[in-house]
Amino acid sequence: MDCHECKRKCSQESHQKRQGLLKIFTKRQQPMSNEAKQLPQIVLVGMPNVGKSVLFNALTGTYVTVSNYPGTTVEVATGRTMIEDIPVAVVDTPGMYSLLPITEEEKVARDLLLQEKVSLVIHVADAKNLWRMLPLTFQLYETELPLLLAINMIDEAQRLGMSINLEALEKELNIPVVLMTATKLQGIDRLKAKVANYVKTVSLSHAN
Amino acid sequence: MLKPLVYPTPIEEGIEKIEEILTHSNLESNFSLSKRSLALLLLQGDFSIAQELDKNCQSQIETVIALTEEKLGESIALAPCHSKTK
Repeated sequence: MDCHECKRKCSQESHQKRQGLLKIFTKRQQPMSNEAKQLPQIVLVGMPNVGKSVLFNALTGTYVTVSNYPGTTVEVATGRTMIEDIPVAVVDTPGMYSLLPITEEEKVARDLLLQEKVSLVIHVADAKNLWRMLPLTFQLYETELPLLLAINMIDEAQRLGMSINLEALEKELNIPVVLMTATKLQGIDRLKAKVANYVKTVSLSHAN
Repeated sequence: MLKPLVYPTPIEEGIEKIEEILTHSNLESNFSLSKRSLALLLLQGDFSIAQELDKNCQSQIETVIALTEEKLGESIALAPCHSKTK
């Protein structure tokens, strides 16, 4: 049997593997469903390698849709989860350093915040480099979108002898802050409890 | 309620001027960000937002950017380094 591009002769087994992979890729390219767009949207943003996708998986499990953001080749993952019995859509965005985009990935993340109806922005930050993360927190803060700061990798920061005064930080920033280690699912319940406050408000406004 | 960040006076004046320019456009209705946030991005020269405005508004904003940088004596991009909460 000839492959569609390389024209090499492949065995039946290899053909079956390709068909299997094709099904996966076809599934990955489905656009965000209209149903997901109707749900309160929680958007995970933050710099690259801070654990956004780990948190996304912890919140949504494996049932996700990955689609290209319209007009780009940048992938945005959307999943569903339940927060206190309320269904919500969780969106995992490409890493961004600033609201002023330089790369296409940053532009997609920024445009998503600019143009989509966002119920809550969760800024995921690396506890070890918090001072480098906070300028983006301030930029997000300026947008006046509902904002929550999730400080991830707290276990690694503690191993380095660092500690974060949660109460002082919450008071100074005047936004909810959660300390967590997403890879160990530590702090996820606290995060969900804080997210629930926003989701309930949005859910009530939808109902009215 | 979030406490607004306060930038150095030339930046705050620039934001105020751009917010005034934006009141004559429908830019705010196209985006979910606050007017202040849009003004701050425009002040930093965000082209993708600026292109949503007409030529006259773009030109006025360019003038505000030039004036602000002249008063600051440094790039507006450094503004967040000098901000603080009220």
